[in-house]
Amino acid sequence: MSDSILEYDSLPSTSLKAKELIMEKCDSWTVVFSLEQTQGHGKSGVGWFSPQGGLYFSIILPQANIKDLQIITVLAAFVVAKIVKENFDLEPMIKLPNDVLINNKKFCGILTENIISGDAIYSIIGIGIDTNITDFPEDINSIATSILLETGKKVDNKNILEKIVQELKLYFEEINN
Amino acid sequence: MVVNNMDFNIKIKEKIYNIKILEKGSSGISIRVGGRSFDFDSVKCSDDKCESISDFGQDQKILLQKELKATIAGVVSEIFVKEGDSIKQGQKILTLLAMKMENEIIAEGDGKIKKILISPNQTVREGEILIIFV
Repeated sequence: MSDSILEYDSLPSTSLKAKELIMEKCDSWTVVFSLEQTQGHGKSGVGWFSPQGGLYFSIILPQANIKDLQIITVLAAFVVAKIVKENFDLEPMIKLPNDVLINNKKFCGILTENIISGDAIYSIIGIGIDTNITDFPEDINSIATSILLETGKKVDNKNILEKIVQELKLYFEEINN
Repeated sequence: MVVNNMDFNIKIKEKIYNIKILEKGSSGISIRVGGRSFDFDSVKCSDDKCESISDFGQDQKILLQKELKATIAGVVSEIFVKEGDSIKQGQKILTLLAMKMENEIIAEGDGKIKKILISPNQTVREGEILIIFV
């Protein structure tokens, strides 16, 4: 794996860890990746089911204009959909701005969080993908799915992670140039 | 013996001046502007009033602006401080939901909250004053 991907067995939340790293002046494009999250969350603190098997990571973005960051959230959804389509022969659908669905069931959530201090904006994009999850809690069972459930094939999480980061980097550079 | 020096340019009324400050150990400093040199011998003073040139500019505390303004339009989600609170640099002040992103506003420097002009769930415009500091 790339040097800039920090791997953890378990974290409360990859975005929370990324925020700590930002305070320690960590480099942009550092990726925090965890095999599970104990307090994974989406928008407005709503929980994100994050047991082992899923792919959970947060990317520390370079400083950018706040209006460009909104585009990045949408682009991240597009990148996830593109990688999943190319690698698993599925037809993902983007529910703007931050969810990706397969067969009308959610399998990916994206949340961009900014830390604003005066004129400085530090940004983290957190992505959770249900890759190898086979059992969901009752309250989300009818609205959630995973790539494994849809294809019957196990996903190499690290491989998909690297592909997503690489692609997102290209789009980000394009926006900022 | 010269132990530290600084070399910089300053611009005054469209004219640029090159300035070199040379610290000569404990004996004093020499300031060179263009071809002219100004020597200053050291005088005795208590440590808290003296500052080494090499330390100058380091570890300065950032002073808070008098007001915290909304960087973008959005909805105030949570406020983590109250009026009268002393706050430290990096402390979380509030979160603002904007453009489908969560924006955590943290203190740029140390200070004290004088007045909070917003409340949770309130919509704010870009540039609107949210909090006034003492």
